[in-house]
Amino acid sequence: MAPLPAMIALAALASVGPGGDDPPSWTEDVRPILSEHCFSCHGPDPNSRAMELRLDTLEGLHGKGEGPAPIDLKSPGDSELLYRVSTDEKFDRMPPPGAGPGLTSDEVETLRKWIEGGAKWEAHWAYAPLKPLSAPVAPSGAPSSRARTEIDAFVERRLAAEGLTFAPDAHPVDMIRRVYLDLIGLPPSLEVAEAFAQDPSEAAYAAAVDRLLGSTAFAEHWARHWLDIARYADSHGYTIDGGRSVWPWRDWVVRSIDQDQPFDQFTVEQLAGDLIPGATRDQRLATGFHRNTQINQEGGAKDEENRINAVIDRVNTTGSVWLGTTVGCAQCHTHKFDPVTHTEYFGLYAYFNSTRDGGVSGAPSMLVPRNANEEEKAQQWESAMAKARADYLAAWNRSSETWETWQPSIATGSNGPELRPEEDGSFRVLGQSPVYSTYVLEGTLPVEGAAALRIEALPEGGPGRARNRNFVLQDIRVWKRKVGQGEGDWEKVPLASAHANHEQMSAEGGTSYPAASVLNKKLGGGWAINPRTGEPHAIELEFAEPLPVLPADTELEMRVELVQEYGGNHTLGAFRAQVTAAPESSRQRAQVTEDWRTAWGTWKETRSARPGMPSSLVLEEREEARRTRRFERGSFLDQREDVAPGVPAAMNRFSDKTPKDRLEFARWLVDPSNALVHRVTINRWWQQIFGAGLVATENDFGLRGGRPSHPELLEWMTQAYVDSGFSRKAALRRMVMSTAYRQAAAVDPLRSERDPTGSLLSRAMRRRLPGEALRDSMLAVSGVLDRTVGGPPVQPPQPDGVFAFTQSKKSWIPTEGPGRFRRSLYTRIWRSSPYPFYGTFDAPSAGVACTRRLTSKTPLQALALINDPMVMELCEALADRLEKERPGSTPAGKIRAAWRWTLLREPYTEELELLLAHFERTKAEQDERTAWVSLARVLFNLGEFTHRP
Amino acid sequence: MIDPQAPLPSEAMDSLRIARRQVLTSAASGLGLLALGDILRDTGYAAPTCPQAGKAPHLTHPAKVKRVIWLFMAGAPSQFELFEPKEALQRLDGQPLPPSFVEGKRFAFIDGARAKLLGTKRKFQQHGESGAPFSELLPYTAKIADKLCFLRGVQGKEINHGPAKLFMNTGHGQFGRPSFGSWSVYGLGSEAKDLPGFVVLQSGSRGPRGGAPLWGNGFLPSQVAGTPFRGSGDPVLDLKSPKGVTDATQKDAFDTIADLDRLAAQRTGDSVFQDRIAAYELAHRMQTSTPELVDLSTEPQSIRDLYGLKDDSPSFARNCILARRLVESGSRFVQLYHADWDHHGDGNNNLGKPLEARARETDQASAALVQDLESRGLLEDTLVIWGGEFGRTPLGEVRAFTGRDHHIDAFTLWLAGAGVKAGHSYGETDEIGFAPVDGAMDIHDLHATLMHLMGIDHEKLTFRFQGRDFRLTDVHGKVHKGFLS
Repeated sequence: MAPLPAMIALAALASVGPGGDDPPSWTEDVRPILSEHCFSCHGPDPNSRAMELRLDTLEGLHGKGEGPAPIDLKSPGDSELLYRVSTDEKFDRMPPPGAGPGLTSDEVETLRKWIEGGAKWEAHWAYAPLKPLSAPVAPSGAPSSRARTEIDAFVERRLAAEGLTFAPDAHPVDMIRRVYLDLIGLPPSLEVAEAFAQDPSEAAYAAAVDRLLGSTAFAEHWARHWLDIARYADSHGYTIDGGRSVWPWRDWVVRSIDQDQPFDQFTVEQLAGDLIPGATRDQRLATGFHRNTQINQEGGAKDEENRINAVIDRVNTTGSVWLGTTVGCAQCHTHKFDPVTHTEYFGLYAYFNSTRDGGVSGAPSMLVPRNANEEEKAQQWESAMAKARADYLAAWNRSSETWETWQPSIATGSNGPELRPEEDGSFRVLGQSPVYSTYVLEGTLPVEGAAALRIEALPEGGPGRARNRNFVLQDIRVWKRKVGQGEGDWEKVPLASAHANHEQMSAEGGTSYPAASVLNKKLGGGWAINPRTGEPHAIELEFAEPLPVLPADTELEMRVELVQEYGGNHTLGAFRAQVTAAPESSRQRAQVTEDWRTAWGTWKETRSARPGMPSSLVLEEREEARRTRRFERGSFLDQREDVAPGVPAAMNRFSDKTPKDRLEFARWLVDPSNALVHRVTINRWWQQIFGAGLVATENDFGLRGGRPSHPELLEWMTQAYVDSGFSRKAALRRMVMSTAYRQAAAVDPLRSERDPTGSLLSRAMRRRLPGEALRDSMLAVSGVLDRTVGGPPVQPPQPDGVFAFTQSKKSWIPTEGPGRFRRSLYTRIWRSSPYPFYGTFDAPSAGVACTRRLTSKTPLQALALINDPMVMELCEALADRLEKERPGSTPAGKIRAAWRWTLLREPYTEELELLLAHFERTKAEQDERTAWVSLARVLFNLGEFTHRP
Repeated sequence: MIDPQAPLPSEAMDSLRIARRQVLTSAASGLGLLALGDILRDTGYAAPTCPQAGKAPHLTHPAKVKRVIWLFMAGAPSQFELFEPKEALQRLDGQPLPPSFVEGKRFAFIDGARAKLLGTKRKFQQHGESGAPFSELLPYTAKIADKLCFLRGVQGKEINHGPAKLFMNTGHGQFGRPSFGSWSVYGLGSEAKDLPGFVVLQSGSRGPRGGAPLWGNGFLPSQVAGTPFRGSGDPVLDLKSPKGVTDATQKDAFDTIADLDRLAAQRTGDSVFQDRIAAYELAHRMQTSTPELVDLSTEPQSIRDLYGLKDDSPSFARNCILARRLVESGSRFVQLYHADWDHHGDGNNNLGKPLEARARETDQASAALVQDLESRGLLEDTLVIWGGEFGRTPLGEVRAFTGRDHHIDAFTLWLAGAGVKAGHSYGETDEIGFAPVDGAMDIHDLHATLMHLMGIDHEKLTFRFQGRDFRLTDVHGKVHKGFLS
């Protein structure tokens, strides 16, 4: 796709709103109206489009449909569009009854003025290339200006237009507390706050910012934000919600942010680290990002359905996190508002469709060595595994020479099992283990004139599903028909002989199970293999005569029924079907050779010798890509035409290439020219620092998303970030050094009226701390915070009864020792019952990517903060600290100390009096110790403590 | 949380959103939550576009149902053992099903093409003037036959428990959407002053598969999420004062926090402090009101006998009494989960003793709840719903015993109370109960109809999220009027 003409792109970023006599703008004024009222029937989606009319494109507006052109530039007043939205004529009026409210007269007027002004159309701003700025970006230097940085120049210009100015700088104590909480999620110590209050100079502030950005605490705090996005948890989710080990990936995130790994590499390694040539262990570990998908372990859950759900989640998460687009809408139909077609959705899907994971087991995972010794062990084991697997395949190949693997297109089993096709052409039988079952295989054949069928019973997941790993194949029925014939046209293929490498025989006159009894019931009960149930076996059945060779335009298909009605779960657990046209050439050869059996044994032993060390879930690509087909109306049960990997055309204006695999796709995402992705990233960081993004809809940069409040600022920030080589720390530093960030949380009538939500940046807004930062603050103030970085999750105390509402009760034994007081980042997360304190304070459930936390206010938060056992323990700790550090002080002296530790300032007289009175009353009511604990509890519950200034 | 900076269609919507945000986030309304309708009325937004001035756009007609109690039988009870005797099914017991029935159908465990039809071993009788059939397992419910309205042609989309429960609650099989209870509190508010508007109770061996997302608020403000009340211990986490803290000390702490926050409010003029004062007041009230609510010692023996309440330990009967007390106190939506109806045929999950036990645990109290609500005049504007996330197959599933698999093509729910015909049956299935021949109703239709009863137009109660106007019924749902009174 050719790059967009620069003019159009620039126009998209033009001034804010229609001023004076300017005609209304397409982007700002007109498209929102049409999008709201018209696009669902006259927008991008061809399937829901009425009358072939499209109002979202230039061509559509000027008339390509059947009826009159919507817009008449020669005689604007006669435009069909205007007539339709304003007429009272019942059958002409748009939108039609039942399709939503009509347009207001103001909206109609906007359309009229726009057409009269020449109906100028622009492409969507978010998909346009970055706009090189012509306006000066340096602070103006005017005497009245309070600008410190380029950011301020943009903000101040906008404030001036609204008749506003920056609020005064925040008080130094507020300032230092704010920047600590925003950058590292912890408050400063009293000493740090006092030192800054003494010397609040620019140099001192800059030094503090650099110190914070250089600390591991910064990486931990910003990792928490990324874990929200990654839907990280320590369990599989859904119903059973078993535990999983993916915390080493969490530690990778902390390390990566700590080292300020450029965001492009951060992206590529997480989405496709496994595909980077010569990938390091850390690069493979990074792919845990997309293994944070849930796994339904419920009995009856289908393996393939699980896998598809995970792939869909990966596509949708990638869409909202990087593309800032709700691509998920296009899963069922072409997006009604944004330029993502139904087919393009599956183009994205194809990038993620060939990973090995997806089953109920949770594999694959990789070893995560903690030291050089473990590293060596891990490497030894991994190369031993690679060799054992290669040896096994080679031995198997020799043993089944002249046989071709048959991959039937239909493979089902009665009574509930799922037959999952594996990469090596075998089937793994999963899910419910039925008492008895018949497997049915159908499909075309890899050889002409097939004369024999071979069924290999494989030990990996089998051979049988009975408790002793045995199975009984009572009958094998073979049928043939021509492709295209009906259900009734199957024709039985008579079998002449059956041989197996091993048969279960009874020594004392009981039932024997020779291969031949599959054909002749008198000879035994069917083919079984006890006691050699830990190794591969094969049965070969020759047809009475070879299948016919048909003319070129007709194809034969075969149906095989494996009847297993012995009972007691005596069914195959893993098997492979093969055919050959030349059975006589293999007749002399052992069906299962000794070296195959040995190789299997070695492989199995090697696998079970996996060295003991932490592991982490990772992505791994199959050797052969899976086919991706479009799901009609989003249903995987209705898969239609093949779709090749690809990215949405409207988002690919900067490149004329189509990424061909997951690695190229990841690189495409963070290509320096992919302005959309970089805007989305910068905006999300801005949101974390300022409380709301410059684009308020941080995960929707599409046509229905918000427009940037400061378009040029967003462009400049994004360009500076790209120029800096995608540095997170540099971008955040730019933000926190600005005057815009350093304002007081001023409340005055003018600002409340003109900037009620603070989006113009005329002041700071107080924000409630997220649950984790709130607990971390209490840990810090009470003096018990343990700063250990990384490692397995821990369990701080939580109230009783948390698991009353989950399907399976989890064990939650509170960690003893310092681990109990580690940062909240390290608290174990069960998806079905996350740590309640954080959830009460709006931590997201780890179900889907959360790109922005909500801030609710409920009484349940008050109950948690005033009664929770975890909080009480920290109140005790604060009382201990008082006793230890202020042993001889008066009550007033102690209260003053506790107040200053908590809020970093002196209490006002009234405040001190209120607390002293509470202390004295509580002491009289109960005892002195209780009174100190209660005092600590009051402090932790104050709004000034729970909010970032 | 409603986004104050989201793009807005018009100025009117703008002021509405800000007003709504202020009201919804103000703690005073946190649990005694004002409805969207009240806010729309206050801002005057509704007047120009809505024919019934003074109403929110989604409140298109008078509500018959003001409160809902949903008895959710988790795991999916077998309609064939409880409500649906089928003569043909008895006759064809042991026969395979004609392939035309099962082509393209999904079952969780069995192979429809090979499984055999299963007649019931339960004895059925017709009851009441309506003559509705009940098996011997439901003697108490049978006695209120003429108060019930059966939906016999309900159809699901999801075949496994977790996704199906999500669908029944949120109209979608994956996580992320708001639950019916949350939508109704969002659309109608709650009259409960110091209790949550949407409460979830649970009994049986364990919680329902799917967990908190079943009563989650999705993208709606978190205040409308269901609040689970626990069966034992504190009904709400952290409800009790910490160990060793007297009531006087607790009150003193609450008062001191409020006094200090008030000073901060005066000093800064920032409303965040005012909001906190209200939230803490309500929290303190809940510490008293909630234990009172769950303290059943004030219930007379006659009521205990009616529900079959043996003691105050956690049970379905206890939850039914709690549900009544909650709606008496103004809660909008109360949902009771009772686990373990998943009778496939395993040793501990089959159509014999395990089914009998589930029926015994729920039958008397379900019937008592309807009778008790009626005698208090509450049934006039309260609706009781009884049923699972799907039904069970007419085909047998062979495990240790022969049970039944999940079935989504037709299953049965019953309703009782406001807005629905009493002693009525809506929908009918074919001779073996496989699929509806009349009155087929998918879950979107069910939701649309229930919302209709609550005075809500399901197409108009929407919430914009990620650029799209979401609703409970997605882009589906039609109101069935055939069983409405």
